[in-house]
Amino acid sequence: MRAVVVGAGLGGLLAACALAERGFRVRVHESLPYPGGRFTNLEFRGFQLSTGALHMIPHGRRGPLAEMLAELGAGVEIFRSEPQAVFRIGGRDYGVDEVYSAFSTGEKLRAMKLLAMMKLGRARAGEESYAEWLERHLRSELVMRLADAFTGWCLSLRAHQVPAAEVLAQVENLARLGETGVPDGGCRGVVDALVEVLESNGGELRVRSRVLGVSGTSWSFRVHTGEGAEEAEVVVCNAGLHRSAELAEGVLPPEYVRMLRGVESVPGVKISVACDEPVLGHSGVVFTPDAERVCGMNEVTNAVPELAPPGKHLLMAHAAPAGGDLRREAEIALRDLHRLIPDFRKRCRVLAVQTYRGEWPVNHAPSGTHIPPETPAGGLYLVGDGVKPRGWMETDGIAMGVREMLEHLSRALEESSV
Amino acid sequence: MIRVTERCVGCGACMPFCPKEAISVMGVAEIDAGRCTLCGRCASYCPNQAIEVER
Ligand SMILES: Cc1cc2nc3c(=O)[nH]c(=O)nc-3n(C[C@H](O)[C@H](O)[C@H](O)COP(=O)(O)OP(=O)(O)OC[C@H]3O[C@@H](n4cnc5c(N)ncnc54)[C@H](O)[C@@H]3O)c2cc1C
Repeated sequence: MRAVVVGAGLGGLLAACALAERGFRVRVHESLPYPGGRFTNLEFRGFQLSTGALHMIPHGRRGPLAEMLAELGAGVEIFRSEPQAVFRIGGRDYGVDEVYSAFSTGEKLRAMKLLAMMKLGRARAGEESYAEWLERHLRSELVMRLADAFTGWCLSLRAHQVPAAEVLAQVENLARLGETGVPDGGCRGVVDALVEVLESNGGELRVRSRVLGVSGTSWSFRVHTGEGAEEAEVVVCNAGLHRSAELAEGVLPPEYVRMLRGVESVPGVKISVACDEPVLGHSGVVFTPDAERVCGMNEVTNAVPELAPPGKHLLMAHAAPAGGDLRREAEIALRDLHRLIPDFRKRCRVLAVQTYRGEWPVNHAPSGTHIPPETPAGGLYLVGDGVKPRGWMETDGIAMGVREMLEHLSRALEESSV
Repeated sequence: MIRVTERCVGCGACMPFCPKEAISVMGVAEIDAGRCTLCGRCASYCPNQAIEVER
C-alpha cells in the first residue's frame, strides 16, 4: 500500500517512519528546503536557535516521544534535566518541593494538599477552566501566578484559557513520568534520526515539494504537487488544521471542514539570548511567575554545549501573549528579561525575537481541543500539534496522536478488505 | 523589489539564511533594502510564503 505524508514536521516524520516500518510505500512531501517544521535548528552566529521549540522534550526519556523514537530505532540520546524545574520568585529560585516556603502559613498546607491530590490523579474537575478550578479550591494570588507560568510555558496559554480537566491530566502524567529532557543535537538531533530511519526503511522525503491538494475518495486518493498527481491509499496530513482543511476540502464533508477551520491556533513569543557564562546554570525550566509576559526560561547548553559556540551559552525564554499585537508583547517580554536576569545588559545579548501565530503558531489547537486523528474520509488522517489526546502536551502529545492514528489505521485495515 | 506581506508572523526562519544579514525580525520581518541583493533565499525558507520577490 502507498502512503503519502503532507509535511515533514515531527508528526509527519513519526507517522512516515512508522508506516514505512509497517511495509507501506511512503513518500513525504515538505514544502520547505529542510525537514522538521517547528522542531529543528536554525543556525545563527554559531548558536543553534530553533524554528519553534525550546529544544526540550517535556517528558524526557520516559515519555511517549522517547518511547516511539526507541521503537522506531531512531537513536537519539535525551539528557535528563536536573533539576527539572525551579520557580524564580522575588529573585530567588525555589525547587519544586521548596516552593511552599514562599507561601503564607495559611496557604501552605492547603497548597501542599492540593498538589499532592493532583499528582496522584485524585483531583476532579468539571467544565471549568484551570483558573476557576484553582480559585474554587484555594484562593491565592501566588498559586494563580505559578499556574499561569506553568500553563504559559507548557501550552502558551494562561490558566483561565485551559480546561481544568486537561491540566489535571497533564500534571498527573508529569508526576508519573517525572522528568524532562534535552535531546542531543537539540531539536534537529531528533529530526535527523527520524529521516535516517525513514530512508533506511525505503521511505522517501522530498523537500521543496508543496502539496497543492488532495482529491479522490476514501482509500483511493490523488495527491497533487507541482510535479503532477500521485495515487495513495493512505494520506497523512501534517500541515496544520486549517491548511489540511484547505488541501482536502474536496474529500471531506463541509461541516467537518468548517469545524477544522474554526479551531484557533495559539500564539507565542520566544526570545533567544547569547551569554558568555551560564546564567541559569542547569538545563531545567526556570518558571517565572513574577514576570509580566515571560512564563519561563531554559539554558539547554548546560546539557548540550554544542548548541552554542565553545564557552558560550544559549538561554531561551517563552512568553504567552496577553494581546494580539505580538511586537508589543515581545517588547514587554524583553523588559521582563532585564528584570529577571541580574546584569542582563552586561552578561547577555539578544540574538533573536521570534513570534508565532496563525499558520505557524506554538500550537495549531489550544490544549484541551482533542480532535481525533481519523477524519470522515477513510484513509485520510491528521497528525501534528492540532491532534493531541487528552493529558499530553507538546511533542509528547504529537507522538500520542500519531500512536492513535496508527491504531485506528490498523483497525480499519483489519475490518475492511482494503 | 522585495516585499514582506501580511502573511509574515515574525517567526524569523528566514533571518539566518540571508547571506547579507539584511533581515531583522520583531513581530514581523523587515528587510534592509540597501543590503538586499534580491537573491530570494529568504522567500524559499519562509514557512508562510510571506516574502515576494520581483526581479
Ligand atoms: C516558541 C515555541 C516553543 C516551543 N517549545 C517546545 C518545546 O520546548 N518542546 C516541545 O516539545 N514542543 C515545543 N513547541 C511545540 C513544537 O515545536 C510543535 O508542537 C511541533 O514542532 C509541531 O510539529 P507538527 O508536526 O505539528 O508541525 P510542523 O512542525 O509545523 O510541521 C508541519 C510541516 O508541514 C509543512 N507543510 C505545510 N503545508 C504543506 C504543504 N501543503 N505541502 C508540503 N508541506 C507542507 C510545513 O512546511 C512544516 O514543515 C514549541 C513551539 C513554539 C512555537
